[in-house]
Amino acid sequence: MTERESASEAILDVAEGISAEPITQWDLFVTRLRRHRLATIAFFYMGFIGFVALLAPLFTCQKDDTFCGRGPVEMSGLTTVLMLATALLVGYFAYRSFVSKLRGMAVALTFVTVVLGIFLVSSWGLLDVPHVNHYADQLPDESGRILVNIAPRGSIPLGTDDLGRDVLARVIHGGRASLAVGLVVGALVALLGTVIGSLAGYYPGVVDQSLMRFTDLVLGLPLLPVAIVVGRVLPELQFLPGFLKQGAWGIAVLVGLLVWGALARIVRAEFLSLREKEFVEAARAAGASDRRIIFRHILPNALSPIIVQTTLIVGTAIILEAALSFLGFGVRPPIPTWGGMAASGASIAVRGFWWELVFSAGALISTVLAINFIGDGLRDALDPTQTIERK
Amino acid sequence: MTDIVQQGETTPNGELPKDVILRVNHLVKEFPITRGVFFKKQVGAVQAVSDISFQVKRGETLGLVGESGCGKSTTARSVLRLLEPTSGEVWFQGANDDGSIDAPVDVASADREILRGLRRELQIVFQDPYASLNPRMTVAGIVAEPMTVHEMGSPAERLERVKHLLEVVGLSPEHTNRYPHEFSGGQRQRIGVARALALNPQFMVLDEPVSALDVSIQAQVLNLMQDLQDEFGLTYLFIAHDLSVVRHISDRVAVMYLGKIAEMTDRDTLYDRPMHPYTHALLSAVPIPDPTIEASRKRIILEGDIPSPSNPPRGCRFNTRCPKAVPGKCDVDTPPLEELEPGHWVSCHFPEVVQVV
Amino acid sequence: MADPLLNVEDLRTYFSTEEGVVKAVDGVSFKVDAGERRGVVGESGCGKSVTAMSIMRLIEPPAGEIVTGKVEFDGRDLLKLTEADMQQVRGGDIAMIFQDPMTALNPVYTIGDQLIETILLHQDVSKSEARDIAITALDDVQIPHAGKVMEDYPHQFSGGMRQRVMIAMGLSCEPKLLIADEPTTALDVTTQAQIMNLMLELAEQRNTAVLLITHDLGVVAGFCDSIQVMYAGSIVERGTGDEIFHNPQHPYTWGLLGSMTRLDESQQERLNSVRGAPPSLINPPTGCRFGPRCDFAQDICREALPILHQSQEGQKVACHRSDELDLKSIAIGATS
Repeated sequence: MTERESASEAILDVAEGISAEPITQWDLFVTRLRRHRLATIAFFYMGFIGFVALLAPLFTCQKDDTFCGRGPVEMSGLTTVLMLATALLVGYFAYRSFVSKLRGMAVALTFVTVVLGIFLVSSWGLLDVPHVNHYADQLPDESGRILVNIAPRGSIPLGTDDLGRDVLARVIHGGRASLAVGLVVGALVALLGTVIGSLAGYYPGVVDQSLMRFTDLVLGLPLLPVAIVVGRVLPELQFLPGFLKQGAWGIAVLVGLLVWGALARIVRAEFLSLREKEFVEAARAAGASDRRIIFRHILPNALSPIIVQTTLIVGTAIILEAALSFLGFGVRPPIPTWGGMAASGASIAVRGFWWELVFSAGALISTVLAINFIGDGLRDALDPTQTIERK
Repeated sequence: MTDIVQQGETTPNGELPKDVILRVNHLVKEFPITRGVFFKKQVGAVQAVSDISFQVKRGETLGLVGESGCGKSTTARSVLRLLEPTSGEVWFQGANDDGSIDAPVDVASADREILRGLRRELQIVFQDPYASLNPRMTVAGIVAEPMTVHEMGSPAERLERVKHLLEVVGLSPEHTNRYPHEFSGGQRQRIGVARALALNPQFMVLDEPVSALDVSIQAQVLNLMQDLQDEFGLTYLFIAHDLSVVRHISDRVAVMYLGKIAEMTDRDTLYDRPMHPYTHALLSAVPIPDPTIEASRKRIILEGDIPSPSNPPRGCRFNTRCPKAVPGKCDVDTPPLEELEPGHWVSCHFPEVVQVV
Repeated sequence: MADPLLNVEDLRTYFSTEEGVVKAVDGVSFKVDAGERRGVVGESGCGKSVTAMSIMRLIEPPAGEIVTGKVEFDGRDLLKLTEADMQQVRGGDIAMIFQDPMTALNPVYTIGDQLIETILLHQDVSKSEARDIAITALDDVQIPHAGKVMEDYPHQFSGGMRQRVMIAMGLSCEPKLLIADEPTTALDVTTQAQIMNLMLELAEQRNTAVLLITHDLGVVAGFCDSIQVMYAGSIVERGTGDEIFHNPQHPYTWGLLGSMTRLDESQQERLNSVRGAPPSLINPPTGCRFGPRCDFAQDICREALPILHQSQEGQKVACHRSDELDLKSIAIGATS
């Protein structure tokens, strides 16, 4: 048999086995993610929370760092419904944009929905009309009295707290702190954990040993006490820029610096196993440099655990921030955070005013749960051992 | 061929016979066993390859066979310096297109720049078609990677060459944008072969390239390897544990046991007139797909298992399992690899031709 | 003739996956007599292992399901037994050994514990009696210092020794049928020779029937009385070793033999490979499953699924053209 014939016979077997369209890693990922019902819902939910938190100043008033239920946008029952509907749509399109093949289209749709939503909500809320109810951070009733500890009812869907502030407005703003912590911690952890873990995993010996001992040290720090101490002195530090001293950012950076160790370990383990893989050896046999091997061959294959682990760490970080704020060492009042609200809510809940505690804690728990579901979903979807077989 | 050369006693002034492409002299590869966390202390070493010498002639296929843990893969990786050899020399003598021969270069001691150049000439095909292709890269990216690393041609030219290479190995050139997971084991192995061919190497290590494949696919890939050898004038170092595959593809065969070469000779001599007791046992253990022959064969069943390479037996490495071992001799003196017949190298105190096949 | 020990009839085992239903075993029928050594050969994905798992009822729903079929063992239909009865059959009347002796043994228990547990499960004996049986079983598989070895953990053993332990465990309850699924694939060739030799000795001694599942035609040649070749979920040819190896009637068997490199042949030329790759089991080709890869396929092969029938040469073969083809005369490397 000649070479030509053997080549053509093999081409035949390719033709038999392979579909017309290339199946990308993305397609596989999406197919597997779709199977994960909870993660799908969680994505949806996080899109919704993100949207609401991002646009919080539109729906609520803000004065002297306190918040109420009346923003530039009137929070009438209808606006609430409209806002929720828009947010849901955004959540849906955010999810679609993630899993759809027509990503560009879905992103555009998300954008259009957001703009349209803002337009709709704001036109209904009459941005240019004087805010008749926009007094202060407290809700007065018809006779001008301040309504403290009002149970949820029509115009005040989640009630008011012991200072008469609207709980819904504060829950919405509290979400900003939590999401800020989530984003900053996520970025910080992904960066530190990946860099330290991959260097340790790729260069055995001194580099590995010193980096991992440092990681052990950081992991060994008692998280909460250290966070409490540092969180306590943070605002006193002169050299820090203003935004780090107060609000969620400083706490976020602090938490981020404390929790990257787990990711570094995972990345290192991943690198240790991947660097022995034959495809890495093949790259070495081709003459590729260390940098090329790390960035082009190993890192893309370690992305799945990095993404999954970072997601899960973000969940933990949000809890940690809430715990710090609950204990009074995190974001300072009156800036609303879910943890801080839960603390003040807890103190009045014993007198029967349960709503602030329940709604702030509920928002916290549901968000962290959603993040963990996303982490689970991503883990399943990105797991290469679950490759959908061709046959 | 002089015996001095074969045994690797010396390399006379860096000169090699013109027809030799690769000569390995006294190659040793040890893996240290360490203890301790902060201050690693070496407490021992596994000598995976223990002072072996051989050479490969231009255009031939040298089969390197042995059971797991015999050091055959370590040898191959040390030759390509994917592992750093502990000691020894690996002389590579390349040829140019016009037929002139370059001065030999020692791969084992080459610096980074020289090694990078050598990578173009020395390539490898791996055993596991699933682990050897980067799952996050497209076929085009995988096959073009060696060219990208060596900055050969423009991206468009590289893509053209990728398509050509895919055709050469019997795959459709249209599949350049596919990912490895879409291909079957045999097809993946072809992609690995295309990658190895990308730099137009002269010497290729085939590390068990068919042992993970089904029989019918095995035959396709073996045929392909033979065709490529004819077409591109390649020299192969074929690593395998399957002696029948080795018989099919090799011109000469070296049998390894516990880091040493037990016997080395041309293919038919090894199978028809083996002299080392380990070769006898190995050959007699390989089943032949023919019930009539099987019924009449006498098996040499070895006792026990292969000893640990971290603590190899004294004397002849095979003496603990050898049916012919003589106490006081075989467990004391290490037999040298000697040329007992022209081109037939055996490392045994009591060599004897036995027909096993 | 006495009733066969094992009688598998029209066994169909399907797996549901995202892409569709994988017909892993699709209409397999065969009989194994007491003391017979039967080889089941085929390439990966041909359904040989799934056949064995189905006999042992080790197919896990909901992914896999035995759709139809009958597995009569010693007069009982195994597919109709309760799970509790089936547990008595597994490891009692039918023993199974697997490809990977590393994972088949539990690393946290000693060899002795695991052997004794198996024996106690299937035999009505005291613990000390079970211990004696276990030691005898280890002796039988030629493990030196059996008494001492009982206290060892699996990790202290080499692959070959572990496979011996698995055989000891399998045979300790004197099964009538031993199913060996690629028992030597993970082992080196000299160890493989030891293990196959041992299995042959023990099976002959005790008149145990063996169903040897393997991809290696060589292993089968020396061990089995009869052989069935599987392809894409069904049996394509069945006969004695002589018939299969010296006079294959199915083009697949013929091609498979031609694909093999042989120790006793110094082949200079190219191997007679089977072109292409096995078909998808979700959408198998119409007609003969082997049709698209077959050099002799004609219209009928693309239209009708051939059934296993008696060929003129003696063995059973599932090929439309087996009687008109004279594979022997065109075989390259298929006959010795």
